[in-house]
Amino acid sequence: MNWQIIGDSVRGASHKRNDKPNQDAWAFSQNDTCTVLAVADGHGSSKHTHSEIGAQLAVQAALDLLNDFAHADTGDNSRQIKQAADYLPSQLVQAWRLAVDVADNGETENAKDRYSLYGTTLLAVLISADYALYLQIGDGDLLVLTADGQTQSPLPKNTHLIANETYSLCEEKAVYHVELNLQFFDHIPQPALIFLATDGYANSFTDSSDFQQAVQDFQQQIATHGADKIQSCLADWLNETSEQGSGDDVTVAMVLPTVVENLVDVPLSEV
Amino acid sequence: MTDIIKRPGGAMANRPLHFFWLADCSGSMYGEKIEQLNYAIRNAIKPMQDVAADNPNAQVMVRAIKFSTGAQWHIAAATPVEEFKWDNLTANGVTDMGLALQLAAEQLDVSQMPERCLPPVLVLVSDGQPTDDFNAGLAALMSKPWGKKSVRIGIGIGSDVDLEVLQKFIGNPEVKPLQANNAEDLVKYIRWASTVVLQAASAPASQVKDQVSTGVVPIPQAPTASDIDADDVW
Repeated sequence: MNWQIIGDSVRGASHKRNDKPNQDAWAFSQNDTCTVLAVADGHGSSKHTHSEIGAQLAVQAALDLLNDFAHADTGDNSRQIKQAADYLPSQLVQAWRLAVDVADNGETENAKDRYSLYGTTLLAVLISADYALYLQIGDGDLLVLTADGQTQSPLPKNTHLIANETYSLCEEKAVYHVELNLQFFDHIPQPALIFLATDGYANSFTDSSDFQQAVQDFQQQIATHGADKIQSCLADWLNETSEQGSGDDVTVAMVLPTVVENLVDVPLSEV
Repeated sequence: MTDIIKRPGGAMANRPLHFFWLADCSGSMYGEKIEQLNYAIRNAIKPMQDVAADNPNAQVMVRAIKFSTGAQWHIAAATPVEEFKWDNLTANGVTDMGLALQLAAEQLDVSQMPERCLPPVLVLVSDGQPTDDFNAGLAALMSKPWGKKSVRIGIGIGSDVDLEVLQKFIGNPEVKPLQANNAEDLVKYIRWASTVVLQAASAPASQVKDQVSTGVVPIPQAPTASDIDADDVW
């Protein structure tokens, strides 16, 4: 199956008011073996002054690591793949720290302080022919829309994170806070859409049902209007979301099966 | 025809920020102290509204608890800051501060205050020492997720205030209780809590869990006390 990606990231309304950069990042890669999509949210406080760089390093580290994982000769059966996946959290944290070391270029001597400066969350998904692998550290939302229109969370929701607290790649014990789930398509059907967003998106909705409605609406609108059209609208929608909602940076990225049938030519609805 | 497609998702809203005054109305506050507290809070309403207006991504909601012999809601409904008005408090009775904290704790449950809220702000103003079980009240407050994550400011009035109790309430060694020894300082501190602290809480950056021993919102520097004129000291 072929997969298509839609995504964008906008600077938050409050960041514009306070002259702060967009501290989110997102990236994807696709080849014959796999599709990888990653989203990150740099923490942004005074302790994390390079977090926008940390977020960029995190999505790139995820792309490299998960792409290598999909191409590695880990064996064909699910048990062997699961065993190999167990190493991903430590490999991810190590890869991100190495990238930070290079980016920091010796500016910050103390390692703990150095990683803290670049602190970020990360959400990522890897899709191969046989499985989907979901990974997350920190806040943000990773949801799966099933073929029958249900939204599911493939990763456990962390109920301890309120009041802008988050787990982070910069923590000493970051490895223990990386959530990971591997779903094989011979057991669980391929998703209709996988949705990744930084917390600025969900925090902009009145409640979780209004947020989950967005995931379903995206899938329907892509089916109706086509991915290119929705991609062209996305930045405006995200800007509106930040302005009317949380004020935070907002990043949304999704992966879904490529639609091959003709798009329905329907009158476009009003705002 | 212009291609306008409806934005995905349901209703959007800015993030609620709940602000609580906890005001000591015991008998020792009778007279100038309670009058100045009423004046200071009323005087801070407009600056508070201005700060809130500067951040349209936060919806500031104000409530107030008064405590003396028992604790009651002075403003029970979460009131949008733009509609916030202050009715004068009167002073009489003892200092049941612990009950006031318990009353606040009841509103700090995630069932009442969803996860998308901003950290609540609690400003405790007192001139004395608790006469009830303060520790039980504090424990009730800290048993709630939003209680633990709240921004807590303690303002003492006069020289008889128990600063140790206010420090326990604040729960952050880097933030000290403020001690107002005269009307001018009380106005200054109340305004600071209503504006500068409110502003910090309304646009917080992410904080790494368990690395934050000093609260989820960095507390800005408080104003310094004015030079004491012996004639003006409470």
